[in-house]
Amino acid sequence: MSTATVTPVLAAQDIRVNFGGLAAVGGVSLDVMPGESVGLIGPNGSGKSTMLNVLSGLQRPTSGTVRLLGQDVTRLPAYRRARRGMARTFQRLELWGSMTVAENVRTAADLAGRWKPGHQAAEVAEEVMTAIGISHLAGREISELTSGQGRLVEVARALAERPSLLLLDEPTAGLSDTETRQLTELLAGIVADGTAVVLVEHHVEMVLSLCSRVTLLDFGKVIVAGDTETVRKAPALREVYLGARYAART
Amino acid sequence: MQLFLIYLVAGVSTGSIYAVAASGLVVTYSTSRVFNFGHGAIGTFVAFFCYWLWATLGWPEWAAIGISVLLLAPAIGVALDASIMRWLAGVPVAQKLAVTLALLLTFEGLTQLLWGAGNRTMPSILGNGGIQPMSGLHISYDEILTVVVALGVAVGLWALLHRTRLGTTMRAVVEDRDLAELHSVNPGRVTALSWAIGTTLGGLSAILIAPDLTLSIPNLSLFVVSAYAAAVVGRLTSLPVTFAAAIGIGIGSSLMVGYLPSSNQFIQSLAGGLPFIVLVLALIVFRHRGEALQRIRVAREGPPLSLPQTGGLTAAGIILALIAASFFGNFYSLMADIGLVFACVLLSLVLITGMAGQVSLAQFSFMGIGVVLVTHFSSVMPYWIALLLAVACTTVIGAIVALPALRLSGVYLALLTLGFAILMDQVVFVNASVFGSVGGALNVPTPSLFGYQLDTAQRLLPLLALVAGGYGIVVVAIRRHRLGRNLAAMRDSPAAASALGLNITGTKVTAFAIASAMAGLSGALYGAVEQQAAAVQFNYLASLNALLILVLWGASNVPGAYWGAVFYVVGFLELPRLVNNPSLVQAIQQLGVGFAVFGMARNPDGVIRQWVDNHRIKAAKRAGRRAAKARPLEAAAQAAAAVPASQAGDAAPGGRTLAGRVLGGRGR
Repeated sequence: MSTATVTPVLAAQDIRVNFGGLAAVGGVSLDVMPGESVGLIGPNGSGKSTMLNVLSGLQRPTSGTVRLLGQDVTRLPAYRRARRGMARTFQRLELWGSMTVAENVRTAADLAGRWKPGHQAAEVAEEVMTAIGISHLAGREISELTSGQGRLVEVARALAERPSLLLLDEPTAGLSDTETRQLTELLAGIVADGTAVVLVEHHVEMVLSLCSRVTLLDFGKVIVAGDTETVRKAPALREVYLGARYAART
Repeated sequence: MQLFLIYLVAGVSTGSIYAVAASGLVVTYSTSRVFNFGHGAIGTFVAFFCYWLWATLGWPEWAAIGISVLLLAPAIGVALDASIMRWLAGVPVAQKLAVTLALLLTFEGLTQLLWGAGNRTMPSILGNGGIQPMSGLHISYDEILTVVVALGVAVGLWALLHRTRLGTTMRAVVEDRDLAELHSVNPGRVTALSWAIGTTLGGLSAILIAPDLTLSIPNLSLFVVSAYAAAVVGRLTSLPVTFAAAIGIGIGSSLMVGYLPSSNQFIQSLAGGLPFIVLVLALIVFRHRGEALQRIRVAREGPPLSLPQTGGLTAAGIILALIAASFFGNFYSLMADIGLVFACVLLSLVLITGMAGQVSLAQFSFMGIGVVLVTHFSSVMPYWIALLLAVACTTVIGAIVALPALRLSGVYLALLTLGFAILMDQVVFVNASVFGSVGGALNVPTPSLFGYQLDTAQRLLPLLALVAGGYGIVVVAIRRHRLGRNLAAMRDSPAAASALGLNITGTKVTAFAIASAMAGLSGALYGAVEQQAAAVQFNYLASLNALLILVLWGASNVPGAYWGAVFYVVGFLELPRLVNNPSLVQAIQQLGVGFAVFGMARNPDGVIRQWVDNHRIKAAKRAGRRAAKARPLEAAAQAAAAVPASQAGDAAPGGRTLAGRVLGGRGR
């Protein structure tokens, strides 16, 4: 492979997570290069969010290793991974509810700014809010937002950290078609600027249009992985999403 | 061997009663997710009622016990569920705790009001007889009864949960309340039942233990607090583990009393402290997964005052204090002093509980540490250095207490700080070398400034005004700067905060350290005001009271701390002078705070916030009326926009109360 000489931003090897007897993630590997966007798709309960929790450090894997920019971070807590350039959004919104939108973004920029020289928190926060198109919400309280707006604030908050690796957990849930299109364009720009992105999504079209490679999970296992075109044509994609397998069983 | 058996029998009997009390807590918690700090007080109330029927009115004992346990206790449970507990579903943890702590005060207050403070001796239930399986070992009928009752409760609860339709329904509601409701279960009936079972077991355990202890309010309440340990070992959900732990704690305490050298006061006090040591260890050692995943919901905050505003108010306060000090007699100065010290403690709670979201039930323990240390240090060094050193030590102790607290949140953290507070009371503060002889008081030194001895309440007033104002400035400054935003991020969503680079460990330890330092200094100054200090002033009940008063006025609200202090001075210092009946005064105070907090159950942001909201709504309506004359349509839109989100949520038909306060999206 031509990219073999470049250090991947993220290299997750054979990640396994067991909850009691249940294997939520059963041996998933994932590589992301700089400026590359990798999609992680699959039905509910297929282990996508658990995988993101492992990558971001909120969930200890039962086995497997996570490398960030070549360094083993498997045993590092979430905040130390964030300081090394990882940022994420949450499927169930985790906004800081007592702050305004601007304060949410500003606090994230502050958190990142402490570890990266030349990072001007206030300016970065402004820039990011403008880029995402939420400047007009700056003074709003979180409780006044729609869930779509909340998702955009989550994305803004992660981007305010100027991450080298961005983990997005269903960023388009609750967004209108227009908002989804705008967010897709914005993310395409970020990827083009060299940020590595892992995108967990239900919106298959968005994944297929944004990502260069896609991994399809079901029951915690990789069903298909490869470049977008391969996965698009794979019969497994339709089976998993349309339930052909289950139909065949009964 | 004989001695061992005697202590073993006593231990099994006490442990059985712990088991009954603890299983009541577990049943209630596992169906309603409310940890009832009022459990012991309700039990106490039931036991006093039983005593009243039996000993005062002369009813037959079985009728008295039957009516108390099978009629009064469940009725209390059902009434509580219907009137208060159902409203607590979406309420922030600190406020939820405050409501059950208010139950504690209310029921103690009611008991005091109805039956007075005097101690009584409950006659033993089955008389003084017993059996004698071997010479020297006497097992009383009461001891046999407690074990039989505990076994009956264990088997009965197991059968109810696993062998009846009702039990299946209860477990379904625990799993998923909404889902159960969709399957035509009435969750209200289930929680009512679980509260009824909880209060019944609380009352039963109090009646069983009453003949062994004196029938007094503090004794019985503390006894049930001991049962918390067993419930926590059972992780608030497992009845069998809770039972086993309760029996184990009973036996352990009994054997420690029997075998530890009785000459050493400290070691003996460990025996009484055993349940709390187990409580703290269980909290540290076990993982308490359920609560960690539960989101801590957030009270809204108004925009904080700016630093110049706070500074200006403080300066005005100090000038006022200077003028007041010259007009006031020493007596009113004393009241003002105590009020200011109380404001300082409340401000430390604003920081740790309001801003950082960490419920602390130990702020008065830190005050106690502060006053003890400054007194002991100043005997060998100048006052100000001793003060500095005392505050530094309190800071370190606070940071150390924070370490086991790191993995805990919500009710578990509250229990840990409560366990720490009670251990301080039971093991450390009772020591003769700490506060002087038992029941005695420590002579606390007073500071001098530029050769001017600040040894009267009047002379201390300006200094205290300066400190209380300074605390306000510190808290506002923290809130407006990075640390404050980090604290808020940690409180609102720890997951997002750590995933975006916040060191939760460091932030929590910092918050605890600062709050402890603030409390330690307050304690030292409190001592200087009174010039004496006794252990009882710094016990866990004082900390509970402070938390309740703060929550009443608004837990994350700086002005709320000052208003809370005024409330304290009027209700707790002035009232006893007006009403010359200590027992009645205490009852009024406890009932007052209790009922006030119940009032807040539906409005967890506190009185101040309520004032501000009401004011905003009125102003918006006025503006709306004015504009309506000119441009009707726009005016309506403006008025709607001006109504705070929570009020809009409350008003929405069918909308759950407080829903507006829970973060807007939440992905639902």
